[in-house]
Amino acid sequence: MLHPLIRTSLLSAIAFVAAGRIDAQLPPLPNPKPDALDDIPLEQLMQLPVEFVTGASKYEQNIQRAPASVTVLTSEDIRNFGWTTVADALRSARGIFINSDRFYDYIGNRGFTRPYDYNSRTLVLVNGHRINDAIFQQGSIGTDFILDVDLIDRIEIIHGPSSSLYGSSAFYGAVNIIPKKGRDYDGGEASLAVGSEPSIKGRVTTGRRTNNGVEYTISATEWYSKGEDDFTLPQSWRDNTGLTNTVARDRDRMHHQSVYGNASWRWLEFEAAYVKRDKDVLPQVFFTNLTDPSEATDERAYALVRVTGHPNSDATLSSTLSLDYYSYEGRFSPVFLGFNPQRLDSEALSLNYETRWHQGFGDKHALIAGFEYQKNFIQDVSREDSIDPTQSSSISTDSSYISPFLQFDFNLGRNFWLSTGARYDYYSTGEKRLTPRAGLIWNASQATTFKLLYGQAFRVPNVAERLAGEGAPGPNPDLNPETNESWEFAANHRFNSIWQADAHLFHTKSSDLITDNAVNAQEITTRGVEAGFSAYFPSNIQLRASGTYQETRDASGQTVVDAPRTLLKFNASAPIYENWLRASLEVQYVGDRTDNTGASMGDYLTENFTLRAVHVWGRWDLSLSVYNISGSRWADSTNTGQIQSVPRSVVARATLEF
Amino acid sequence: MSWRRLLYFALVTGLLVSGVRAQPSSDAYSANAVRAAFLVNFIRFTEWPASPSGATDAPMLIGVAGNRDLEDYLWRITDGKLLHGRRVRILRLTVPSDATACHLIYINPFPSRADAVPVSTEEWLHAVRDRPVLTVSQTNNFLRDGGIINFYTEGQNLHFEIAADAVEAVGLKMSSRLLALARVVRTKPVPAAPAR
Repeated sequence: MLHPLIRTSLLSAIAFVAAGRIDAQLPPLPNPKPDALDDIPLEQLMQLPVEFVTGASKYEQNIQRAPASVTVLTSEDIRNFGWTTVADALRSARGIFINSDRFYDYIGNRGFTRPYDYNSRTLVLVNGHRINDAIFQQGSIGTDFILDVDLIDRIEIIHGPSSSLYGSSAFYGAVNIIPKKGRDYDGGEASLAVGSEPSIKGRVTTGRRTNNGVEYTISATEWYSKGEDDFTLPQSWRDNTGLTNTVARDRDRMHHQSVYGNASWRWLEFEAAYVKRDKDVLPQVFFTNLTDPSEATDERAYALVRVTGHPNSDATLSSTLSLDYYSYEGRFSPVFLGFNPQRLDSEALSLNYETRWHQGFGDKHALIAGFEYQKNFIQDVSREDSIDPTQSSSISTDSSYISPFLQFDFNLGRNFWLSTGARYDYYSTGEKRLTPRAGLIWNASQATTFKLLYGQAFRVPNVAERLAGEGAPGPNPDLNPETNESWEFAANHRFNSIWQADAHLFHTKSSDLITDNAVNAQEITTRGVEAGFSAYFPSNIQLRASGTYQETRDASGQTVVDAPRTLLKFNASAPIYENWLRASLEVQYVGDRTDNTGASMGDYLTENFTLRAVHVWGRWDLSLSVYNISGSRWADSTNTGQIQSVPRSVVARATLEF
Repeated sequence: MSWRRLLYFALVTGLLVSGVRAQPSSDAYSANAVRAAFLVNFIRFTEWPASPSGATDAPMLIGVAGNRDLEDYLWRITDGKLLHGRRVRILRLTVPSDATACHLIYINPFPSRADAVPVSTEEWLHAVRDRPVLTVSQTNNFLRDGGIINFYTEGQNLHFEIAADAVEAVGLKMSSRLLALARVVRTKPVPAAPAR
């Protein structure tokens, strides 16, 4: 079944190549390419028409025309606000909230979270490469994320469905994380962070761009955290277990080890990353006991090679071949009688090939065409019961998918852009899905942009849901993909070079959501409105604020679990003494939510403050962060009830540039 | 729609669209692409005093403060090229002391959020005062504050002005060709004519 499909894809790829060749034979444009501008005489240089954009940088210009609503966070934001994980960064973004059971962090997006859904409905990418694994489709964003946050150059948050380019899991949005390159270090960095938990994190990085054009980065991080020494067990734990313990001692430890490297030379690029994280799992998460250890190890790794070429002056052709590895090992000792200590193992190995042709037509139209093929060689899930072997199970499977995609961006006259795209996903497990997207973009003036966006998305059932379901109903091999359909209207206005504001109205409807009973049964609708502003003063004061009001209901009109109606975010960063000492404050409000029993969890307000000194004694970057200043202890929802958030903590960091 | 039909649709529309070549672009160039080309020309038409060590093979250093987009264009434009017979190196400036080793520095007076460097234009100028460093920016009063070349816009074009006294004061020699194209500005007050 796959062969004719591959053949047709190849045919279409060849046709595109041929089309590019035809283009290439056309006489060259009279205008010189930017790279050759210095070859023309100065007199002519002074005659060239120049486009001036405030705060011009490539991606900011692109955001204006992107057929999506995008938030960008930078490496400076990460250092100024002292974010320790990607989840910390996402907390500050419009419309996003984080649910943490202190084992994993889960993204709440467009009014939807489901405790313990493994982040399978937001796609996490590094440099456009899928991080969500081939077993649980988990997009890691916490201490289990594959990169040290210090290595991140920027985080692009795409709000709303993006399956038309990325396929499964880009359901409510996508988070693309772009690491720094060698030129960003031009030497090296050594960093040490010490926290009050206590925790200690060390990192060594080296990177540069050499004169012969080779650019590379190598980095290694080791990070220990003792977590909360005395975790107060909630009443729900005592009610459910019948035990009287009030405190779990020394059950929150974390150990993270990661390495990352990239290298590029002309059209060739390599990237590899590896992370291993060990984490104690608090008794509340799975109702585990207090006598035996309950802990889990997550490992992720990938290695990729990317080739980029320019078949004609306006085209970019890139092909990426990657190998991805994922492993999860959990050791749990349930508290309930009749449940024995068990060990859960999962392992996946996948090969992914993607090729993408971007053809520009002047600065007016653009075409993106390509396909992605993934073969999951190993998809193993097993459960080993330490006492009763009849309770053990083991599944070994493999699967593949192939997905051609296409996007056209048309300039419909001076200020209107139409972006249309679609992707077709064909899975060897039987799922087939066509996901379209369309965006109408109106640059009403230099300063004002309106966007009307429509998109569909899907998520295929993961291996665990199809074949290895836990609990009473067991797995269900007949599950269908979950689907989502969204509308958004967005407006952005730049008042001057300092202030800009944006507003969004959205409606998103998700169908066939897979429930705990392993059936496609839930339908959820979210309506919401968001508004925000940002200001960047020449004096280097930065302000950013956003508010979200949304209503999330299921088909019967009931509010759903962990769906806050109100989200408010405020971030401010300002130099406070000359130009080297900077203070940054963030305040976040998350409105009332309900847990899985329908009980209210209340709302919360939390504040983080960071004092940062740059270029101290020439080469040092020092900072001190206080997280959750007021020490509020809110609850996040888990599949067993509620779990208390982390207490106030302090982290001091020193980074030496050499 | 079946996948087969979708693919053929993609194939046919792709071919059609690829065939429709847009008109030769009359679109504007990115300001940073043009700035990069100017900066390279500024170096071509300027002579620096010999280095105290007498080394002639040391690279030409171009420092950029607060404009990564411009850095990228400079990398691309100088890739594999020699200026005054020397290799070119692009430095991202973050601390004033790094600027002193450069032959030319470009200071972005209003960097974007992603580019921000906590050093003001005045501080950059102060760091290289009286040194043979060609300072370039695009902001009002740059020449008055001690800068050497300032870009300004005229209609849709990028032009530049040169503080001629400042060039000589720091020991640089500039080609008359460059001066002929620039708006030459005298920043030192002209002494009043002696009274008769």
